[in-house]
Amino acid sequence: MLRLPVFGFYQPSTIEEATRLLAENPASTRLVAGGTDLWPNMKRRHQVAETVISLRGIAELTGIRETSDGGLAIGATTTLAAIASDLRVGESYRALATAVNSISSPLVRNSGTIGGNLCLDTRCTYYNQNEEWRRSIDYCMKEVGEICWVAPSSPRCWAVSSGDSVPILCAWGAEITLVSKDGARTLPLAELFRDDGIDYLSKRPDEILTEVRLPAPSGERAAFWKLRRRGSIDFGVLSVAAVGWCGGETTDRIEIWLGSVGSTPVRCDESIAALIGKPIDEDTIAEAAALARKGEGASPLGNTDFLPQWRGKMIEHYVAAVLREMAGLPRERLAPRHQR
Amino acid sequence: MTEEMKIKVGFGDTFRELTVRIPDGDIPPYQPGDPLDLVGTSEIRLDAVAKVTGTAEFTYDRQPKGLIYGKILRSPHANANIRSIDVSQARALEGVRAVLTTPDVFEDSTARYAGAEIAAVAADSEAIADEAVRMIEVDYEVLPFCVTIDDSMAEGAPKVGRGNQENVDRVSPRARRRRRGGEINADAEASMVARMKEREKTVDKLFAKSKGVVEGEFRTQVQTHAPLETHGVVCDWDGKNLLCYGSSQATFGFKRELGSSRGPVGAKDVRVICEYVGGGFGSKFSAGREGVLGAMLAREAGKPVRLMLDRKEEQTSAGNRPDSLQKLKMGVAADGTILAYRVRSWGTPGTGTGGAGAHNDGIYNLGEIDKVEYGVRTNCGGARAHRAPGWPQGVFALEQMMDMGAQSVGLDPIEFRKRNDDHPIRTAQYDIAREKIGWDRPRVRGGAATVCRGVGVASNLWFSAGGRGTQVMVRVHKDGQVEVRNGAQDIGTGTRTVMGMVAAEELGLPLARVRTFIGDTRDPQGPGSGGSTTIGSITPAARLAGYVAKQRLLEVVAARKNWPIDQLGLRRGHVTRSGDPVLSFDAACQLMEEDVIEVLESRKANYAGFSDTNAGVQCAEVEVDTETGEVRVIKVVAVADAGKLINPMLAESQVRGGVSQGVGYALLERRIMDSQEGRMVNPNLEMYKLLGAVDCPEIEVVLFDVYNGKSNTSVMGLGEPPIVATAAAVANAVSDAIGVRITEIPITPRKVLEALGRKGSDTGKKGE
Repeated sequence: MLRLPVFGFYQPSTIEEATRLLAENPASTRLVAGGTDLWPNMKRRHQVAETVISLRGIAELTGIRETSDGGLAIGATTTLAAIASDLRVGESYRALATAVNSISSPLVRNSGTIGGNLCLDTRCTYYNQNEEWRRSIDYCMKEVGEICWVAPSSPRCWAVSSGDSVPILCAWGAEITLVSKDGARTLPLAELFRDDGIDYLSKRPDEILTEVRLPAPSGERAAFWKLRRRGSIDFGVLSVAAVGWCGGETTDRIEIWLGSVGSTPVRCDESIAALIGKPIDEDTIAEAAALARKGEGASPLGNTDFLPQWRGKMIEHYVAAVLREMAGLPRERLAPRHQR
Repeated sequence: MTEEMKIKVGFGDTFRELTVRIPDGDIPPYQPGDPLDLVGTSEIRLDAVAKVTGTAEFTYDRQPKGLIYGKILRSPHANANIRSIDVSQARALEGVRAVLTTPDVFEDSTARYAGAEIAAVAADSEAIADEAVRMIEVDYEVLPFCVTIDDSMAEGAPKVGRGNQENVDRVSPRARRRRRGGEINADAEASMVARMKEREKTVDKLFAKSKGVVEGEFRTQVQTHAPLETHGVVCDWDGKNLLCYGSSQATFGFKRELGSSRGPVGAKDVRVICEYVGGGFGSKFSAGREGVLGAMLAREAGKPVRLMLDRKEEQTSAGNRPDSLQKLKMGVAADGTILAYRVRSWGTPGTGTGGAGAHNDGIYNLGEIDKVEYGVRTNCGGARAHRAPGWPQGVFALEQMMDMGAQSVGLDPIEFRKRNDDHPIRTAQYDIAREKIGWDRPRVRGGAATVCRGVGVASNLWFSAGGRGTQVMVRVHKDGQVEVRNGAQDIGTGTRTVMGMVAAEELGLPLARVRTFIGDTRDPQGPGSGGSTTIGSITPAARLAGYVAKQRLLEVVAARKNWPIDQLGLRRGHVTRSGDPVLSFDAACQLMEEDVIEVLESRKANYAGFSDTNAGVQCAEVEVDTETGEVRVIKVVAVADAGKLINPMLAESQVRGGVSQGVGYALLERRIMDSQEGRMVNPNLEMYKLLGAVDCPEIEVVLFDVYNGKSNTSVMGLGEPPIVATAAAVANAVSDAIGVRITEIPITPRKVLEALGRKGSDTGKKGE
């Protein structure tokens, strides 16, 4: 059985105390909330820490509240299960509930948190193995190794961003708050992510993600689909989220985001441009879907389950399916299990 | 000495009389209309609460005082010879209590797959053991390797074996050798080859006479057992005697193995305890090298040692179902009768060649059969028996041939099967499966839309009523307590529960009134859980022991009360006289002069029955997305018989388990080997995909209750048969949905899209 290494552990009860502890040695300290990602990673020695700070004792980090502008603010340590079953989320942000409900298994959702899902470590077939296995290939560049086994001539790491709440929250234009000893800053969630498998977050090591905020609903429609081998537990190999605002016949604004296709969530710029000002119908959907597959960043590599070529093809089918669902067109596709 | 008597056999409303010779001392089998209070009811399994609340103690939970921890060093190379092993640093590490090496213990200096055992240590903590293992220095002579069937069969392939071991060996019909493993006897081989040629000619002639001739090439993957509890032992020595807590499906097998004077352990007396085991599926008959090393580490360390495999070790080294390559040909007469059938098949059981056969020539009447089978060595972890060994892979291919044969003469697949099947039970099962799956309902099929549906059928067969060599002890105590004991294990089929049920039935007691004890070799001899024989072997002995205990108790009552014994019985917690309750069971026990009535009865030999085999038919319905290639199994109807049903709910659970594992085999599970490094790429339960609850189809189980004879409980084995048909039924359903055959499992989206692509090109050819 894999065991945790020895480390120091704190459970502060206020954000101030947590940021102060974190500031002492941010590089060798890790934050934990649900522990569904960190603990297994530490057991497999993917991540090491001299100190682990639990955020679970901080009451103000948990819970969902309405904001003054009519949106929702979700505390970083709110469990995925709590979000999926929240009535306000279900009513105004149903596609978020769908996305959150697609994560892993009920047990993990009961413990795992939204903050953890947003900060989820990037993943790769050559990385997510036990220590002995990785040692036998001399590790990879995401650890102490020299090369990327997925693309041996590549100077960078291609590990995959697979937080399933990310694409839909980006599409909705969510904002996050990062707090450190020196103060707080707010930024669009999309700016949290960097296109690098190793250094995949723009969050500084001394910062704590405290909250994610959704704008007030304004008549938008949204949909989320996720592709994976099994109907639960598995990480996605592709997730597609779309949120569209259509005042009249045509699309005023639309956001389409892909997850699990690269080291960072991908915004389908060309598909979005092709849809704005047009009605969403069979033809425009087909065009937007084809563009999504060709878009920058949407080129899956052989470092997750399934062949990358097939995953590439699926981008088109899944973007089309999500746009169809958003537009209220008939499904005509085998839907993911989480859709039922 | 046997007693000849007439019994009723059959099922449903139809029974016939059969004259059988019941062994001396046995009692007649259950008969239709027998007044049974427990047998045939769905009692909740006795250990259900212990299992779900976590109080059940598995091997991993055993913590004898002073426990230390064992760890195995495994080869990182797929094919190597061990030149030398330096354990001095590991031995010198503080907290290390014992170090052993494979060349010393097993006299084996080869490492023929990545994961082979090289050395083992025992230390005061898992962390120290881990560190010590890393300090062992091994000098390997690294050799080229083959990890796939194709690589190994290729011309000029690196040799997997040593000495004169060829990569490919004909295993059936087997070549005669001068001695075991020695040179082939040339004369015997020449006449064997001549006979094989004759057979080929006979079958060729029949193909020429056939109206329809179909051919196919099929492949199946390696499936690992993936039990929730990994293999391993906790071993504790008392002088020369060994107490072994083992994750086992053969407690007495472990005892023999670890106590054998020819084995490396050679304990004087061995007691094996396995009250609960977290799944075996055929892979836990032997203590394995891990068990031997665990025992020997404990002896050398002078402390109890726990050596349990981790998940990676479990997936690479603890057994698997071999893969297969099957080339089949079938000739069918115009009326749908199969005239001839040819099989050429290959399978990889690991570094050896035995045990990779595919049962692709059974179930139906297949006419003249010409079958040649080969074993192929690969540098991979070895096969172990896996739930119906050889059957799911063979039937996957056979059942597709059945569909193709039906098509070749324009028959409905089910009608075609019935025409070539005379099984007394299965012939009654087809129409039930057909109706329950809605076989004849209109569906969008044949690849005619983005989402298509299809149905498929497949059959299974099993052949075990259990057998001799098992004893059960029943003790009735003066205070009214009743014990039922057998030392075998329960790998999940419900042995503990049904053993209690049949004994309690004889004693006229509710199940809760008897205490059942299993999984301890100090109790009477029991079977290994193989061939689905456990319940068929144990229950007749348990019933007989219960019956004899009842007679002994009634003799006491008759004598003390002066009642005629032939008027007495036991039912519903009471002694009955002419059917009326006259004395409570407890009060009857109080009449005993001795403290206990102790009865030890043996399982008697089998006799004739309604059918020597039990049967099943499964139908699957699937949904396929023809653009993404994704497949969903919507429903599986599983019609099955297991002779007389002692506990229908437990029987149903076995069918559900088999079908679930079969659906996973059809769509998800596969061992992936890296051809560059020769390692298993997915040795964990994240990347090795087992079927999850969400992906499990609706499973409708229809059980036949067959008064079969053969033993006093008429039980037939059910653990294995349900997995036999499932993958085949699913594959046939996918073919029905997309209009083109899928010849390889697991059925992945890529294979579906490739098949659809083939169909496009086939249609193109027709157009030319």
